[in-house]
Amino acid sequence: MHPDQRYITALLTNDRQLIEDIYKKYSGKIRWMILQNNGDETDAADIFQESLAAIYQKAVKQDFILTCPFESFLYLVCKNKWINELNKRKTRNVTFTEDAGYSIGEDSIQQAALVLQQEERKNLLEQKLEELGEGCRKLLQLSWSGKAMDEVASLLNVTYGYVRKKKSECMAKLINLVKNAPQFNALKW
Amino acid sequence: MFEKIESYLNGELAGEELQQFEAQLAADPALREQLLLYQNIESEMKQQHIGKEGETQLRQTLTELNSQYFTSSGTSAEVISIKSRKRYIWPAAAAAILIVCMVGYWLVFRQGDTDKKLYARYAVHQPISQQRGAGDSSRLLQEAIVFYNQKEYINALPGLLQYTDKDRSDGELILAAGICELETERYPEALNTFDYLAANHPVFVNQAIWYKALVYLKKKDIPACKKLLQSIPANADTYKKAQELFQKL
Repeated sequence: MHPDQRYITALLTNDRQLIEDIYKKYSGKIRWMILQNNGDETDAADIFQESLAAIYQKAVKQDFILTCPFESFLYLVCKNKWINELNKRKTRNVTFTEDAGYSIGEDSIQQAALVLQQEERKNLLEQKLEELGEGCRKLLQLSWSGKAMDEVASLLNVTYGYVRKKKSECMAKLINLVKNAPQFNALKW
Repeated sequence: MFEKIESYLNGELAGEELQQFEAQLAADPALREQLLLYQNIESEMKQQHIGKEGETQLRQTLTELNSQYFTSSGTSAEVISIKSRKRYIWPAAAAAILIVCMVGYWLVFRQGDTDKKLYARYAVHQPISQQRGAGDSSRLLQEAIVFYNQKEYINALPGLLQYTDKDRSDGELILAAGICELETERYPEALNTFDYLAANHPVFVNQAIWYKALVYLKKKDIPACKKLLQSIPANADTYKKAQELFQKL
């Protein structure tokens, strides 16, 4: 295990001191990378914060073993995230002429890509859940919160049979919305 | 079909029904795809639920650190070379002291008034539909909505908090709770609520940022307020008023 694994643990345990260490050591470099590539200070702040949150989301989901220095991994996540953002804004002529001298293994490159893919899947699901409407959203969220379906039924003041049938209908709608999203195929479900 | 998938994944199919479904799965790639997607979405959302509280707390830390380590001016104080500016330091310091003295009075006594007026002008909160509480079994929530719409935020807050603490899925009510916290000057709580809203209810992200900006305006932390206003994207509903307020600050 890489000694920088402690930074992953710090994100998982909200260890303010170590997280501040991440800011002290690495925020300057990320800012510089964003400012060099069509971004401003606000972009840098957003990308830095959202990348740390995305790493947290990945780590909380499964065992996340860092195989390279945290600095290079964070740089890679921020850079990919920024490229995605520039693509969304349709900014042209963006070239990343250097990688800040990091030597990053293929496994880490793949892991960084997975971090962003998971975050985008989550964003897409949340967006589509909002589109489903209050009834379905509430039911699905309750069922995902670890509650048994009979408990969900009593919370919603409906029968068990109704809640089971309704959940399938809501999932069918959600799956349909997700599959029809333009980014569906790229997110590798 | 989705009901069958759900039953299959819950291990509720047995005997002939199970055999039939598995045979269907083996023969139908589209069904296999649906099953996999169903399973992945369920697992993704269940795990997300587990990490939700931790993420809200982490985001609070990150937001605080972001405001320390990034500035909205476009250039961080840390990256300005002090050495290259050395020769300007003394005249600049003298000028700065003079300016501070001259504008001190205005800043302390007049700017406060202006901020207050601006806050009053921009802190216009949309009422919650009375229908929202009508079908709900919680009488407390119904009362809270009435109080909220009458701008009695201190009385609305307990009912809204009790409801939203139990059910975090209703973004509109979480927003209303945050507004009550803002209006009753519970600033850290209001910031927490708006952060939670932004992190968990994408449709309310820009509203949450706008209200966080209003928290800072009410607290008279103008740089933090301006920074947030600037971060509201051009396609947001709140963009126009955010730009307007930014200019006035």
